[in-house]
Amino acid sequence: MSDDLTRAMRATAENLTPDIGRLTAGGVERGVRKRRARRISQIAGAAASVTAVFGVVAAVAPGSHDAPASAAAGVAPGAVAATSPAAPASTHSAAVGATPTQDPSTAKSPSASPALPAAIPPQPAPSAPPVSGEDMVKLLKEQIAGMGFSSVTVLNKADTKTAGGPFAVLKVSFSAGQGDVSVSLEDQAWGNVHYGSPLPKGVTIHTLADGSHVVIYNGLQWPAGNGDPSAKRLDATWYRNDGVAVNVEAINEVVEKGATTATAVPLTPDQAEKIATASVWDAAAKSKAYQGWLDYQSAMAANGKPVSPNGSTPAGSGAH
Amino acid sequence: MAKHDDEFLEFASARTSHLFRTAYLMSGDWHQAEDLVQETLGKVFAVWGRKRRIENPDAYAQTVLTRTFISAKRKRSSREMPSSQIPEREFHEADATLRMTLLAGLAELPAKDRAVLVLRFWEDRSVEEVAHIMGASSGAVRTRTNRALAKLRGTLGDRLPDLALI
Repeated sequence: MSDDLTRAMRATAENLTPDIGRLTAGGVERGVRKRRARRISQIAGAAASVTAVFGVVAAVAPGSHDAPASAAAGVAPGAVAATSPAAPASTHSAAVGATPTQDPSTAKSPSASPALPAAIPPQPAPSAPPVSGEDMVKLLKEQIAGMGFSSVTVLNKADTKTAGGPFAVLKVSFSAGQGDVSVSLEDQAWGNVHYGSPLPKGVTIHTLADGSHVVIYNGLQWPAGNGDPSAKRLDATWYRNDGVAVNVEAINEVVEKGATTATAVPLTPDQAEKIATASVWDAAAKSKAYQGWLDYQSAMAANGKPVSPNGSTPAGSGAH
Repeated sequence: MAKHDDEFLEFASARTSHLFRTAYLMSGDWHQAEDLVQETLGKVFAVWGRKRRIENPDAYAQTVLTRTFISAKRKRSSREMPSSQIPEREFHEADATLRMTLLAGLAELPAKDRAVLVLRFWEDRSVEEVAHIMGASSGAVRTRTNRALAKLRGTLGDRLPDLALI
């Protein structure tokens, strides 16, 4: 089938001679950073689990029954739910996707065993429920409300289980014409982002109070010069501290690589940044990160080595 | 350096060229291909030391590369910046026109269409393998392949006569 296309691709690619050593060194450098980030998040997850255990112990220990129930039950689920996707490697005994809830009455009940092992609840997997494409659309619409758009139409959407991550794309009509506004989330840690110095034209970067970073790009849609020069693009990308990047994009085209349909992009840089850094994306970010961990587990299982329920190495697997 | 890191370097040395060529066909840009390969190697390296259960690292790396490419292109990463330094590359003169035509045709396609064609015709992956790599159904891959070929046919014209038969 289409041998000529195969031959054309070979003719195009086979004579390319990349610098293997440099690429490998760059890959290892990025990998080391990813490992380090994962270990930090594992430590954070372990700390949250310890907090949860202390909360339960405080609730069942003699003399502690006058403590508010929320001190025992509220802390545990919340703390565990806030952990990163790396944490489940040691806490996957509960069903994947199970909601980490604990009935406060359980910890306070006189019938509950005061013995520590029985009092400690099962370690739930950090739950990050999927966020639907409809949710992404709804949240984006809410964020752009009041920004002067006369009509808003949904063009595309995806949920957090989608391989590339959740997103929503809206067609908007405004005074300058029609364009697109979109939001998308992906796994991209700030440590892996390199813009060089000086910054490329149209790029500005600033650091937020929590140490996260926002990158604004405002310029040609295809800055390398291989596209329609009248096509403009505004990007605001928030590199969150949890390794998830939220990208808000505005272009003056209704269809990507189509004709320009407005004389300007639909958002200002401030508006785009405000949308990108909104807290409404937290749920999608947690779900995205958690889904990434599930995908990893799935990939490992697909490779013929099922992952044990607690994430430990199955005997005889040869893994370490 | 740990033993598994040495094994990773051995894997990377053997596979980086092929990964780069795949990345170049997908992105059509030397610098983006380099970035894509480094990100892919980084992701593989990150799991290599922890879980040496990647029975088929080639396939795993291919999946990572494809999904990273699709994700990056969907947001039209602002890392696509003009460069004053064009790396020197060697191409056979006879292939230059065809290469330019092919890359121009691929550049007209959405990222997922490009990925499908590269995986099917450069990587020689089956429909089912492509579906697994892209996280899509086999039917969706077939549909996308036909649609992408139809678009590409318009650009390449009679340079690739077999396309007209598909």
